[in-house]
Amino acid sequence: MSIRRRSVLHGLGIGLVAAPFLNLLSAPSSRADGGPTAKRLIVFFSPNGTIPQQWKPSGTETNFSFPPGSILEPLTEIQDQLIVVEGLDFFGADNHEGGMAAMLTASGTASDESGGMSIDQYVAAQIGQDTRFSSLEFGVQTSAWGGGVQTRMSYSGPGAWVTPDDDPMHVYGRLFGDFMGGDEAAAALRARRQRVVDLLVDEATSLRGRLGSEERPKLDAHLDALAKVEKGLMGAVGCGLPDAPMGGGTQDNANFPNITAAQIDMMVAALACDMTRVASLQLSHTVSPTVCSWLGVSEGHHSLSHIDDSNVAGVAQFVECERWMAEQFKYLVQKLAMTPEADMQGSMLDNSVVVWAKEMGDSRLHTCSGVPFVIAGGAGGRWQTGRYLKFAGESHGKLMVSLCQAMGLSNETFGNSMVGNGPLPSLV
Amino acid sequence: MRTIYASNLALLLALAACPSGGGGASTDSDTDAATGGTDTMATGNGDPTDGGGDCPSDAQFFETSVWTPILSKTCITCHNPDGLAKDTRMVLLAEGAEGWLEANLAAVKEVALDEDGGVSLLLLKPTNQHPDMHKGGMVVTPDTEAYDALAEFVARSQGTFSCTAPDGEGAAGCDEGGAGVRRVRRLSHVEYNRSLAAVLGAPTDLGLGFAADTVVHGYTNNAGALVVSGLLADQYRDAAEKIADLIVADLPARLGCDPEADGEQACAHAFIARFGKQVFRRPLTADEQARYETLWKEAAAIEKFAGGIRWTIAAMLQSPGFLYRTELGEHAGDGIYQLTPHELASELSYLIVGGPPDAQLMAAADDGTLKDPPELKKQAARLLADADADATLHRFVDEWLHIDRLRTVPRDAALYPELTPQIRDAMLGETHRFVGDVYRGGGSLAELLTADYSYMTDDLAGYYGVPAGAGEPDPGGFKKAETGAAAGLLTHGAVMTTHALPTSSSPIHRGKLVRERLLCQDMPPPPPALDTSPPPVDPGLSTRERYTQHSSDPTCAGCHARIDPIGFGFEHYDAVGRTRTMDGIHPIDASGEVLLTDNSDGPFDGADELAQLLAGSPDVEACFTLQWARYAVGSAAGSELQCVQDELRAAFSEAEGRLDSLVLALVGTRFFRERGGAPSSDPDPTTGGDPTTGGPATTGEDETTTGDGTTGGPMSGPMTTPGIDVQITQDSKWEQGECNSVTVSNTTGAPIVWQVVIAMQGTIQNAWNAKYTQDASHLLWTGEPYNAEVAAQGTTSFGFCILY
Repeated sequence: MSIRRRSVLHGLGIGLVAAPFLNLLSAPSSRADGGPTAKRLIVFFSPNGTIPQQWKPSGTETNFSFPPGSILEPLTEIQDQLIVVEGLDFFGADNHEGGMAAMLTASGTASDESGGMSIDQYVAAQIGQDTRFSSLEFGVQTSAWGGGVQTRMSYSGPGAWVTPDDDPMHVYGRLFGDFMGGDEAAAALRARRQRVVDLLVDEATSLRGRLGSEERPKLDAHLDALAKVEKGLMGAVGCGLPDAPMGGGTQDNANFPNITAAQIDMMVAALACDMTRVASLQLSHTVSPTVCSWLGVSEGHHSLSHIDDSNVAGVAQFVECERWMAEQFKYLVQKLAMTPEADMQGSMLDNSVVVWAKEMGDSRLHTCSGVPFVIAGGAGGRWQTGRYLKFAGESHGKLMVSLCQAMGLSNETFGNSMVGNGPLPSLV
Repeated sequence: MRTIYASNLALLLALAACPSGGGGASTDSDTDAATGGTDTMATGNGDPTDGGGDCPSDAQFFETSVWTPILSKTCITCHNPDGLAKDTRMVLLAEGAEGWLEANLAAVKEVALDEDGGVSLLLLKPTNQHPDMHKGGMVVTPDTEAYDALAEFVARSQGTFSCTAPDGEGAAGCDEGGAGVRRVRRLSHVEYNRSLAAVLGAPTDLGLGFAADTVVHGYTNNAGALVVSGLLADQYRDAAEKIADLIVADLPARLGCDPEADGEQACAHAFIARFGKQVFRRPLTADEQARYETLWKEAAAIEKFAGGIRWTIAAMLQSPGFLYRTELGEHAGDGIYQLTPHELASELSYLIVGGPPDAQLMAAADDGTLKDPPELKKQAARLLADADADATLHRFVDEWLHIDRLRTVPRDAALYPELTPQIRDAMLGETHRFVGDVYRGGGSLAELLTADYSYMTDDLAGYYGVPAGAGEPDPGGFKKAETGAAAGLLTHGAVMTTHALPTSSSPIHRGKLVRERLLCQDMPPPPPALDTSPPPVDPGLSTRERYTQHSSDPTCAGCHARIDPIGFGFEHYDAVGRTRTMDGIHPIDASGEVLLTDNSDGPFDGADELAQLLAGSPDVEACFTLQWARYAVGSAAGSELQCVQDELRAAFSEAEGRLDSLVLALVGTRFFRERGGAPSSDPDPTTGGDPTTGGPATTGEDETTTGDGTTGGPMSGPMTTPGIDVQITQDSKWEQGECNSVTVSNTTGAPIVWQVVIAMQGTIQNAWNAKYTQDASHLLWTGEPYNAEVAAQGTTSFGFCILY
């Protein structure tokens, strides 16, 4: 709770300007011993499942390739940095909504070890204390339908969605806006904002006291939000500013590629500045009506995803859109690979885990079995990359455990533990 | 998503022996004495909770909230003297056996007082969270009403429970004599935007692009769903600072005093009081006034007078006092809270004009006259005549019919180059003007649905291919024009375009629109593992033929028989809202039929006849009332809607569907003016002091987390053939039903022909991969020929959708 955390901060007699040093005080509580770990987790989402025949690589674990014309072919260039995973099931989930809800939560509930959180929020809750943002959620046209099961993938608890920011201009202001006008001005501005937050906490606390227990959770959420704002006021120093994104309609279909590129650029910049270590990029949402019009495609992505093989042109359009999604994933991965770590020890990609997740397997069947995942980055040397792992119906909760452990956490289950414990074999 | 684990066939037998779901199987009470029961039973003496009034004693609570809904339904099937759990310490006697209540209370209390790791066994076991597991699996899910009841019983057993709850808390449902829960409503983004504009005194875009809120039943103003997240708090901060800059740039004109002549402190004091009242829509409290003066002083010490004012404004515009409207009221005795005049002013103003109260309304709040119902009605009528009243009406229609998506629904530009952004805007303008006109003219729902006129710009008329209207256009260029049809709102370009596909019309989307938004029958998603690919566009077939073929599969037909024949009625309208007589080379067949409704069944040919059918239907009238109530009250929860629905329906019928009658009817309800109310069935005013409003039903409907409405009936664990484990996953749930998939796992080394019994009531709407038989409260499932037998260690699955 925000109130408690604030009193700790104040009790230590240090203001927020000194807050970056707080990480020296925090114990690596839940970090497990055992092997190298990744420093950051990045989730990349694109919607509407896949057509397995068009997605599958060919070959063996260490000797494989992406067939010409297939969805993953654009990733050939970065194949050595990938772990392609097929054959994972979302146990007990089906269909668009079920898949969207289960994808990052593995169907966890409040009583599970992961508490019903999505993997990004679970990891952020464990490792996000020291950074300016415990996590950052970037979106591209996720919200024309408002918030709902179909349009949200990130959960801070059962049924509690974390909303991505679809507006690159706002993202820029939030992450980098303070740096205009020099360090001194920025510090003064932050101090004043901090003072306002203090006042707001008083006011929210006072209103909370007037409410019955049914309504208090709203003000609890508000107080948590203020704590996040307060944390976001922490400055980051010596950090390069990316170019400000172009304005323009955030819900304009034709803008989809521009927004995607801008969001990836800012995500990598924020990670490079160590503003956060957990980030996600959500491209549209399940049942996405997005039309890949910039590729000359005319039908909506959702419709295309359900087209059967007799409709050769339709399938080709779907594959074309999916290949474009693969290109965006590649852009993100390459950008991380090209950015050295602050200590110049390797690239950001070396110390990251990037996961491309989808919410269904075969979209034509509306099922969540055989859901494809692509992982990039070596998790600090923990995992050998350049592999193609084939499973036959393992629970994707195990992949989540693998990811958690790669992030240095020690949990042995994630989500519904009844369908399997521990990490995926070969992703230990 | 709910997951429930299996128990065992023995349970089926136990349950079969007590079809009433009441007592256990034991008929002759061999456990003769309720040993020790009377000692531990709290009979009133010294029971801290037995305060009379609304607070039940432990024994009463046990019987009504623990025994009846949970133990007698679920636990006793194993935990009975002959049951699987007969050797555990919790052995329950059947209801009616001698001393059953005392004995059961004692046994359960003992379990409640035993802990593992600081948590009561009564919570660990049924949720299957105990290290030693629970043989019956998870029979109670955390965060449910059942769980909360167990938790309260544990607290009562431990002596840590008190019925004294904070003021105004407790069930306040209208069926219980209450007037709804005291609540706060965060401004929706649109309301926030209008509130900012009012403070600024000029239009602004700020707020409209904020992180999208959770949408409940299509509406963006659901009070339960609107909360402040970290991202939104930052967006509020950003916008507040921008508005503060704009106001400070014009400070001398805005200040109302002269800091040099009057003194900075005095001027700041006066400004904070005046501006604060405008922002908070009520006078500041002394604490608030002091808080902002301190902030001003600190900031002004560094950034001068104006800088201090800037930060004061920025803080006020992020304050809960601005961001939330309260409906908390003042205690008026008996647990009833009367909304304050300023709360009433806000409630009325946001309801009708979607923004903060104007000066006249504030004056009526300041002098308290707004508390008089006639004055309230008078103000309501005044606001209804205000041009701003259209804005909330437009918002409602946009969300009711989902045309808030019109501007962004993708359409193939090569096929439909004429659908420019300007035409889309004109379509929205058409619908808004039409609805506003019907509303202001005292028109009815029937007129809304069957009008033969509309409002178009000349461009839009040309686009539709109808003659441009005559007369003077309004400032937006719209003129009243004949549409050449008599299907009112539903065939507007905005509606037809929104509910279509990028390259063709969509009978499914349009049929679903009518089902869900005009008949209030939510449709489940298609079951998994079906080929649901939309029929490919095929020049050799008409759209209707493609969809008819596509839905001929019996598994699909169950739902699509309700959807497609309605949607076919709109086939004269293409994917971009223009009329057509041919679908490619095929003549249009727009005949259809409404099926499976209470009062609206019937055949029709074309949208005009469909509209006539709907316009005359009491189902549609009731549904419109419900939709409007959801929007106006900002709720999908029974606890609030119950408070107004009957009155609204009666008034709406009485006024023959006159649209503006709903607003005035709502303003006249008790719910509009009061909150709280004890759920007491005792008419006797027992206490003269503080009301004790805690009670057995303190769990209000929780819609904040799921974004959904009410919960369905409780579901106990399924029963299966020995060796079979079952997992049920709820794939979807809506007000009238739910869809579940069931995974059947063989845990043994030999094949099994499986059966599964699930306790659930309702009408199966659709089932796949299994057959069922049904009695009053249970479904017995067996496999289809291809999956009736499940292999050793193998699994299969089936699924079903059920209407309650």
